[in-house]
Amino acid sequence: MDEPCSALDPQSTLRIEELMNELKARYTIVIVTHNMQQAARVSDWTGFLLLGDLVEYDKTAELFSRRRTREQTTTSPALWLEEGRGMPHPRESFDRHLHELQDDLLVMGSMVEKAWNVSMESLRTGTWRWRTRLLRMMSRSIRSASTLKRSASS
Amino acid sequence: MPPAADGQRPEVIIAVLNIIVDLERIADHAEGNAKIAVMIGKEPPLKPLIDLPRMNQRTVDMLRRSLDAFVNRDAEAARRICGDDDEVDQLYDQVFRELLTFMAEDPKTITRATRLIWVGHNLERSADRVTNICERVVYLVTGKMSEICVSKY
Repeated sequence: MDEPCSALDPQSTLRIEELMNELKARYTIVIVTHNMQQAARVSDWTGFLLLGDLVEYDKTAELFSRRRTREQTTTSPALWLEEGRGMPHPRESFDRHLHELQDDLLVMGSMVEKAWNVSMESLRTGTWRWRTRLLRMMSRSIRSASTLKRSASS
Repeated sequence: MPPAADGQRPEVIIAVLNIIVDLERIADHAEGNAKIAVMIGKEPPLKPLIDLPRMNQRTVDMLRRSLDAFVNRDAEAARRICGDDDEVDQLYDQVFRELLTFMAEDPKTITRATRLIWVGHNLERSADRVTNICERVVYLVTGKMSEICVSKY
């Protein structure tokens, strides 16, 4: 497969990857990708090609985690991380996080909605004890959800 | 949910940061409301609640639709929600006037009536926060920041 997910959104990419996982029980799959995260996720063995030369070939776990010296290979992501430069933020994972962030916002919204309904109901009926306890619990989780969002999007 | 358009990602993050602040504050208003419910406790109710639950229903409905508008990037829907805010404001007016007549007739009801006014005020504030969310959605879609929902409070 030659760059099967290059123009796909994260959800479709996930589907392709799930399919590959299913098929690899019966077939050998060769996949070309320039997405390091995808290579690390889906493959059992990884080869690293640079301008037509096979620079490295090893078990995926080995290749991505083993310490290499600059002489051996200069472009291994593992080395990149070791040097403390940090990985460039991959667009795919960024978009995925953005989606999750929006999903969480909806969850937070429905929590707020529930909080209002519960408080109104307890006001109407005068049965407040267990409801307010529930409410206090919820407002706490709403608060922690909102701090979570802050840290997630920083 | 459609994937974020290219070059719109910072806007989406900023929108989320803004919206969570509003959501958190709306939840705070709900908490205030719950505290009033505790305060009132088993006291006999001043009157059966009619307009306040209706306000609550409207506000919660607005909230849900505003988040839908955010997810769907629907500026038109967001603008429509702002129209509903007027309805909540009118209900608040109505609640306020009604409770005022209670208090004028019998000073003994003042405590209970005032608490109910607080509830109405919390709801009105919450609805206003929802309009903030809507303004943010309109900005996200159109790129123009305009105060489309001017509340009279």
